[in-house]
Amino acid sequence: MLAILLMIDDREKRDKLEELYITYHKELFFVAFQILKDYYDAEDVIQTAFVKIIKHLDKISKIKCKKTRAYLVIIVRNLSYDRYNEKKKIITKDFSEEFGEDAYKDTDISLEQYVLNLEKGKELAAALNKINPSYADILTLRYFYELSNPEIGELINLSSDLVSVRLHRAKAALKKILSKGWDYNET
Amino acid sequence: MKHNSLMDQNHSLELEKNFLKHIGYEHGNLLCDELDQKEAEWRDLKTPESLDRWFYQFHKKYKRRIQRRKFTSSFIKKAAIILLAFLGIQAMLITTVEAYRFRFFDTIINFTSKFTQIDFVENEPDDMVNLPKDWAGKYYLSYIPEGYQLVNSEFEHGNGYLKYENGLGEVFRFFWISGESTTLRTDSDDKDMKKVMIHDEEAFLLKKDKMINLHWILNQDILTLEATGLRNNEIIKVAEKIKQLK
Amino acid sequence: MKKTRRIIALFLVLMAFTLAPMKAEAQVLMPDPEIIIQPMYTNINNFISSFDIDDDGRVYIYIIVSARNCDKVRITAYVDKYIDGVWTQIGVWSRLEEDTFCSLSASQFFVSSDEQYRLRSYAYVYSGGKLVESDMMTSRIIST
Repeated sequence: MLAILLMIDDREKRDKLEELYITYHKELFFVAFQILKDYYDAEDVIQTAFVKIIKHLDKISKIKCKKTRAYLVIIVRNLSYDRYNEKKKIITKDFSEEFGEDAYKDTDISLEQYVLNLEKGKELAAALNKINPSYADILTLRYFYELSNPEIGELINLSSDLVSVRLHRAKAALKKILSKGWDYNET
Repeated sequence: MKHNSLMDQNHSLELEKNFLKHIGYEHGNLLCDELDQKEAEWRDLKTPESLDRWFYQFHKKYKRRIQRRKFTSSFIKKAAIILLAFLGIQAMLITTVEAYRFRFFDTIINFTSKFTQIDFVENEPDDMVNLPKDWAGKYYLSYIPEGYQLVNSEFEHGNGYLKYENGLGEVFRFFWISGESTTLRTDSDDKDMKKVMIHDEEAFLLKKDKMINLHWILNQDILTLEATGLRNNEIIKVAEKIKQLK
Repeated sequence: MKKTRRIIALFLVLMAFTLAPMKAEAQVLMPDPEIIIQPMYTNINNFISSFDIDDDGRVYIYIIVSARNCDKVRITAYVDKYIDGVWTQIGVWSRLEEDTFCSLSASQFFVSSDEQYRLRSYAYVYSGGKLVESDMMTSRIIST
């Protein structure tokens, strides 16, 4: 079946949706399978992901670029986490268990912190991802992809309120990382 | 950090947004790098054929939906252009071609005839002869054949009749009915039926034995003249001279 | 080119619709008031009825029967109301004239709104004490 799609040599005739699927379906399936370890579940997640992507197709301008690639990966992996947690009835580890209740207060990042840590962006992102991949993903969707909370919620099957909460926690985690001098290389 | 002014607050917010955007950017890069490192694992991965089949159908539906949307919007545009052109031509024809203008307004009048104000004839004192005093029926006869006198009359809510008789016992009646549901049934063979024009309306002239009937519709009213002893041209003259009371 | 041809075709169709009514006007159209002319009677000349209900619910009935070769004409009229899927008689009037002509009028009857009504008119023609002809007409339904 895919061969049929690939036979359409004239790329102009292939639309955006088609291009996305052909370019990324393998790695997206891989991302889903890594989390779910089940072919059927992974297939299900990919299908769900594309149904959601189609609603925001206008937000994707270039097909073959890191921005689009990361966007798709974030959606697929969050849907996969959601499916995994649903199946195993797992409650995700809360941020407060790591940093305590007080961590939620005062999430403002100071000017000094901003200036001093800009160049360590990569490490900070990695650290945040290690704490909770969902926090990093939601933060990215909100600030890099500039999606609204309801849009994020719709993409990754979360309520708008929960997105706000996780966003808040993501920022708090980041602040804690900055203030504690988190060891970015810690595995 | 204490925010001293609104400008400072906005500035801080902007800085925060940019910082987080930067984190997001780096996070996206990290995800892509991770995948690149594992490329060997997924590059030759065989995805289920059922997924490809599903996508094929899904994509077909999506394309159909897009085409339908495009067609609808282009159809609406075309229909609008055609409608405008049509209205333009109508307007041009109405203003330039006299015959078309008459037909056009005639059609409008036919449709709205129930509500059309028909010009009433001024009451001429010598016109309303042979009528009851203070006649308030909807219609009256301004011409009555010689020798005939009014012997009976009646009117009620847009309906009524006038009966005239001559010295020979010959009678003619004029009656009219109006209302939401009006029906006239009359008896005649086709061969005894003629069509004439009364008040620019088609009227049916019927003859049966000695009886002549003339029926027509005026302003949604059914008007009838029935007579024994009157010739065709006289009954037509009576009909043509029927007037509506103001 | 194909698009242009389609637009021109649609345009011509529209023009045809404009011109068609001009021809149609030449034909005799059955107006709202009904005139039925056909061989049907032996004694009745004209049987004419009018049924109307104004905005206040006042009913107006006017029926005329003119006949020949008779000495009596009677008109009976019924007003029916549509209740629960059945036509139910709610009013009756009658008039007899020892003549070849009879008219019946009524205007003091009131009905309620948001209902359906109709008029049934009956004409009876007598000669020498015997019924020689009769006919019945049902009006259109009037909704208040």
